[in-house]
Amino acid sequence: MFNSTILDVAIGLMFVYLVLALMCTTVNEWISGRLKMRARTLEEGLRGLLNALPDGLYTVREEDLKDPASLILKLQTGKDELTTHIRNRLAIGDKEKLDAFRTGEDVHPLMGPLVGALNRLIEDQNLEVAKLFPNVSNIEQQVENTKGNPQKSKAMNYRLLKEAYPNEISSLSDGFYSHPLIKGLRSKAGRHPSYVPARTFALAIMDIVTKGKQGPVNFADLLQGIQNLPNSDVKKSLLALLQNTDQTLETAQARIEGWFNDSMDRVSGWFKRKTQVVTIIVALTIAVFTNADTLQISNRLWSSPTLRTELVDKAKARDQLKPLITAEYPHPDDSAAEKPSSVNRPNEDQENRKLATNLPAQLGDLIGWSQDFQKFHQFEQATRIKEVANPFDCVREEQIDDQHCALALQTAQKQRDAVPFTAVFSYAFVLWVVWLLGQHLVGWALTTVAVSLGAPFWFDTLNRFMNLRSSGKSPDEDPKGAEKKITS
Amino acid sequence: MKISLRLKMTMVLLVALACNPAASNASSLVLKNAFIEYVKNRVTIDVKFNVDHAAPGPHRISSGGNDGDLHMAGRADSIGLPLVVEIVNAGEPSQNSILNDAEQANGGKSVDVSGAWRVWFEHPGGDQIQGEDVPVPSDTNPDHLFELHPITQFAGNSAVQSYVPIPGYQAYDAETAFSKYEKITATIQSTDTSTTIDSPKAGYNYADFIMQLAADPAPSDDGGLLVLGDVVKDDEEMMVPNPRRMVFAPNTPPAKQVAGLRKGDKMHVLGIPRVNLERISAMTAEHPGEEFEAQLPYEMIIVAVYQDGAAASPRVRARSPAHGRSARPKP
Repeated sequence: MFNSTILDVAIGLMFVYLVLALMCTTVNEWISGRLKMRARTLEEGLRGLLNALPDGLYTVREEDLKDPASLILKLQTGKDELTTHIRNRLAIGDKEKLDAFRTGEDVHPLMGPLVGALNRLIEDQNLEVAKLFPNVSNIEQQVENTKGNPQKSKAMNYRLLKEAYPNEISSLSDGFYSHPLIKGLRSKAGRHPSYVPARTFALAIMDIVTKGKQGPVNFADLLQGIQNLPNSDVKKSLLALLQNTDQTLETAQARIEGWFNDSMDRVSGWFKRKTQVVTIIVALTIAVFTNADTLQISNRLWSSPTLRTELVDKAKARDQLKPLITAEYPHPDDSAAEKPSSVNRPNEDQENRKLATNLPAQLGDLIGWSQDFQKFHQFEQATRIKEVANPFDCVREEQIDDQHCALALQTAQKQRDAVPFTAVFSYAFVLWVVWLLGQHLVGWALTTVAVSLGAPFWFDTLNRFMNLRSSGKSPDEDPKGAEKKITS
Repeated sequence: MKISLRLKMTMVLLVALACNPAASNASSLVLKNAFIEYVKNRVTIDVKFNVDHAAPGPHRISSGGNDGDLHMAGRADSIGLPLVVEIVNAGEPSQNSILNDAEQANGGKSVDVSGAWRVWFEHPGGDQIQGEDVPVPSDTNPDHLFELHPITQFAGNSAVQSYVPIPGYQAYDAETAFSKYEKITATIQSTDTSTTIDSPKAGYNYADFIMQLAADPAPSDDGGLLVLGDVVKDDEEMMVPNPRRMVFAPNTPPAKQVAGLRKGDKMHVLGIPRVNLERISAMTAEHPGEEFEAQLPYEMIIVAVYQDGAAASPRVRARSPAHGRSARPKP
């Protein structure tokens, strides 16, 4: 009983979902690639990890002052235009404190005013850049390019300031992204990498914090390097990671890699959530585009035994495809299988290809717009008289006298005014869209949810249902033929 | 805008709602089993080659088919198939004498040529049956499934110095190339004397990738080297789930370089794919007489080694743990 209509309708539905989900996955991946979602999510994750500023924000923070004492000493002398300029942006009281500062003293009281002065300089749209940074090549051209664009101007000021004081102002994230190991992972200059291996991340961080160290580096150098970092969350995290270790570089590297991997697991979660949104949108688009209405498909399958049988046979044929054969060399690290051997492996592309071959025959009667377009024509016919909007059309309608025509125009106008969008679309079209929504909205929503579950889900579910169906023997099935079935 | 094969396939699926998909561009190659057994563990072979057509000069160098190769089309009795011979880096001064010899031989003269044999469905066209009469080619690039590419010797002149990176050439990146190679499916069937391989058109000649030795190099039957290697990207992630065989022609710079490497070491290389007849032989031994659909087995002929070292800087690399297999894809 159970193996008859209900099961066949379910199998037919799953087959449709599988085909649509395959399309959805591909479109989804393409969109992710075009929008660089992977790279952007990684960048966001790394930004959080390294406590970096978001793109488009040009501000010096206290933790970006790598060597504030050195900067203060330079500002005390004020020998060039730039240092004089920064000095002049300090309050008088702060300037006195700055002048009173001596090497070895606590710099923290001066950090706030110093950062404030630097940021005021960055914010200044009318900065005489050419005068302040005379050694920068092509400076006039750079200034010209930023004219009228405050954001570009800030970006230039920020960059020039950091270039002027490379040893004093530099964040860990700057050092990270400019490290050769990380730069080498970029697909194009100026872009961030879309993938950073954990080992590369750890090696780059270890290299950055031990930058000044000559010769071989040991654990103590690494620890010292981290302690020398400006106070920030990154410094605290790194120090916490190196606590209670066996004080070897290998362990330190493994801990940093673990820290990175943990963060990337979280980033993977963000990425999945983002792609889920895209998946739903794509699934809805495909459902509407192909007019795949679950309720309508079920109804058609239920009412047409021929269609049902045909589709189940197709699904059965797909289920019985011979798996693709591969002949892999076993990896020398794997102890199993000493000599090469052929192994069977299902191949997704093969499945896709087989599915594509008879797609129109399989789905043409279940999805598509042909029947609904016919309905649109019916709406057009039904509303034709009321749709008369042009007096010339009215005159051409010989059977309609002037009085009737005027009345028809008046009525049509009132009806159109009462229905939204009739100024843009025809009355029949608006009625048709309303009808479509009433007819298909629930079905499209069900299809969208189903398709967004993904092709692997429907692939597995369809296989299970096919197994369930074939567990009961069909009365007309040849028992000898069944034995010949290819099993994988 | 670059559109992936899968996206194209999806578009075809959508369009297929209205019309039937077009037939694929496939070709059939029948090889003698004795020939397969002879070449399967060799990197190169030696042939007496009738140079029917030699190109007047090498290809331009940019990307794709503009690879700087020089093509010669002709016939060789020992091969019995339409045959094209290709010289890599043909514009380099070290290849001048070979180019002169090729020009001299053009028009049907016979010369001794050695080089890496290559079966690849790049220029399919009808069935090609080994041992049948081979028509005289009408140009330097006729329909052919068998090549000597790259050569190691031409008319007594060594060409091993051509096994170096092609200056200015943009090879396919590993991700693009290997994803294509991995997706090629073929129908294979063997008889007692021959093996038939039906495959769709394949391409993507030159791939730029990092190989990590999965085992120490082993000698090939012709004095070259056979190396099982993982294809890795970004210094860590494996691009292909299983190791692939990399083949190194005897006495070439890449062969000399890989000879000094051991399991776990990495090389940044330029390679071209060819059908792995050793794997074909293993498959047909397991499925004798049976027609089966298979992932087309391939191996990489290593044409050049890039001298840019591995991805890690020496100072940092010195303290990193030993290279191991690790592949954990992350966003």
